[in-house]
Amino acid sequence: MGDRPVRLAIAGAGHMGARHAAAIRTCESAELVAVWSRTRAHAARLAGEHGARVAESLSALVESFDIDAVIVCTPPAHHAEPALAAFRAGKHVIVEKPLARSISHGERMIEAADAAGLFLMTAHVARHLPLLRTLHDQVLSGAIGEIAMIHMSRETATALSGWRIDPAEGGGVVLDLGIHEFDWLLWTAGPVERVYCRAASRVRDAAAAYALTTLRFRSGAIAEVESSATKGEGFRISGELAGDAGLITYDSDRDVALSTDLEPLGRAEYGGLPTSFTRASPFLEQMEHWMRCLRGQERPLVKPSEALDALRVALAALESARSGQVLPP
Amino acid sequence: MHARSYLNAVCARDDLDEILLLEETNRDLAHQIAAQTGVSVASGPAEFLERVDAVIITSDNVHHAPLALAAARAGVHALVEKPLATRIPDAVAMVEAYRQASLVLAISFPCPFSPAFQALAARARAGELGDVLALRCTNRGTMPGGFFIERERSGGGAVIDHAVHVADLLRRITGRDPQRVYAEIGHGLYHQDWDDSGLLTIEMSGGTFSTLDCSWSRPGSFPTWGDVTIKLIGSEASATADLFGQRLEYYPAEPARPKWIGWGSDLDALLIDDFLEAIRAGRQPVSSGEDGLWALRVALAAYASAQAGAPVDVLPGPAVDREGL
Repeated sequence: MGDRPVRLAIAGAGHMGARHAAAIRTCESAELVAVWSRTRAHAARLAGEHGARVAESLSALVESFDIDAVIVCTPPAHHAEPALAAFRAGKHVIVEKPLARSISHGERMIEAADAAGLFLMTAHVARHLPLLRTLHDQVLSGAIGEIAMIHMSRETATALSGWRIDPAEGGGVVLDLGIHEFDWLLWTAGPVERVYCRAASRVRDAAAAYALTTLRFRSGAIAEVESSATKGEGFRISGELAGDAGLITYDSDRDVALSTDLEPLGRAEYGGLPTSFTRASPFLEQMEHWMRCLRGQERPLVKPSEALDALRVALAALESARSGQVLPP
Repeated sequence: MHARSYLNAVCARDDLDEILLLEETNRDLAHQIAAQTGVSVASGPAEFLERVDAVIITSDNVHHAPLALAAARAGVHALVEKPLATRIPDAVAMVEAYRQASLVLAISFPCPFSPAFQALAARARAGELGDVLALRCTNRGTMPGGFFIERERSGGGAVIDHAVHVADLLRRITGRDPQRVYAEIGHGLYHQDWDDSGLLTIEMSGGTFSTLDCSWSRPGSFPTWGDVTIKLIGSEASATADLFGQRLEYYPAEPARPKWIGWGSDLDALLIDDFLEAIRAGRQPVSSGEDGLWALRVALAAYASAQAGAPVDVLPGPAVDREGL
């Protein structure tokens, strides 16, 4: 890929497809070439906004356009198909979190990437959020010593809808929100031994809108993760890590760098993160990182096996919430 | 630890004939306190129980039961520090002894007197938040030292120290009894044989669940002793009560450390008020021995769960829904 921008396609023109398209626009090393969606009108709108072309089919997307990589933003149960098609066509794959909706899909994607010698990178964007990256660095540098007790919370006011609340497709807040914390915790606190989860829906028969997940780490540390789509207004991440050498707390509500009377505190679109007022948004930082990886300048921050491990924790939590059992990931 | 606070509260009252101190292991301390406060010092348990109408028991945990049972036999009402006892049979015996003697047995749970908590519970019970789906609670603290970390005197570590307050509050908010507990208990903060960290998931009869962090996770440098927070997720709306968050943040000149100065209501004074009123009126106190027994069941179930690596039932048989408190 040398000096020219990396040429990208997007599969799935929903909320996250639009987010990544916006990041590509502000990323000098990336260029959006084509968009596909199972709803052609969505692809046409997104492509139109970004000066890209519409692919009439998934195979057209990966075979007919001159692209280097595909960013897969379809619902998780439909990550594997575009990813495998891309690998067959010799294209690298970037996939939205979670890696897949099932371990078997995830494993197939990883095997295909390995066999083809191509990148499979997962968009665990929370690792690029300045607050959480700094927290990770502080912990790894020994600020709190050995971790003992962790709380992490992610709350949004935007009710889950559509495929996100279909238990078979989505997985509610555990899979959609909790996965950020599970990945960050594996990255920061190491492997998880067991998982226990209790969850509740506000709407009958819908996937959970509120979940409390308990994790026990191999190290002995304990974590409690709150995943909530029941917040009254706005968006918030908060929590703390207590170790044998200190305690660190964080709260995005406390960190509002700019507030006005014109809009509610912490407002952000669903699935997004509050405006950090830092040099680059986490989505742009993530995109720039991916482009450096594709150009061979850097190694991926999130390994495929790590994305699979985060999925294991999330699926164990979902099953624990259903069965009431304590489960290994 | 709490004894000082209670002593201050009773000394500030003008409706008591006499305040008597019984301290058997550190008589020098007892006399010092007497000199400072003007209270009298009893020569021993027999004289003590003969002279008083009511006792506040702030001994180490394993002695709560024998002292309370002795008091009941002497016709003395008792306010007992938490936990009520360290073993269920002891706690049951205490509740039964006071019931049979028609005496007041109260437990030192001051949190129900918190105006913020009362407002939260009222809204929840009135249905303003919808059905109570879940709660997320904390009662974190600094490691207290002393008998609290001598297991043969305390009956456990952070879990028996801190799980009881919120376990009791959950009963008041939901109007239900706890049914199942799953606990992850750790020693990762101080690496001693006593537990310093605990993360409980308590399921009430009716399905409401709550997590509870009862760890001693506040370092010595923390500006306050700890917290009690209750977040309630209802089917219509959510609410959070922070029972001890009302404060000034004070930053003194070095080398002194920053600290919080609380300006909230004095819950210990309200607890003692209610205890004395209950005695005068011949009624149950707001925080009763039976409340203490239920809370102890949750703490001990937590230890059992951690041992078993699985959720455990709080009672052998099904929990009974109560009408209300």
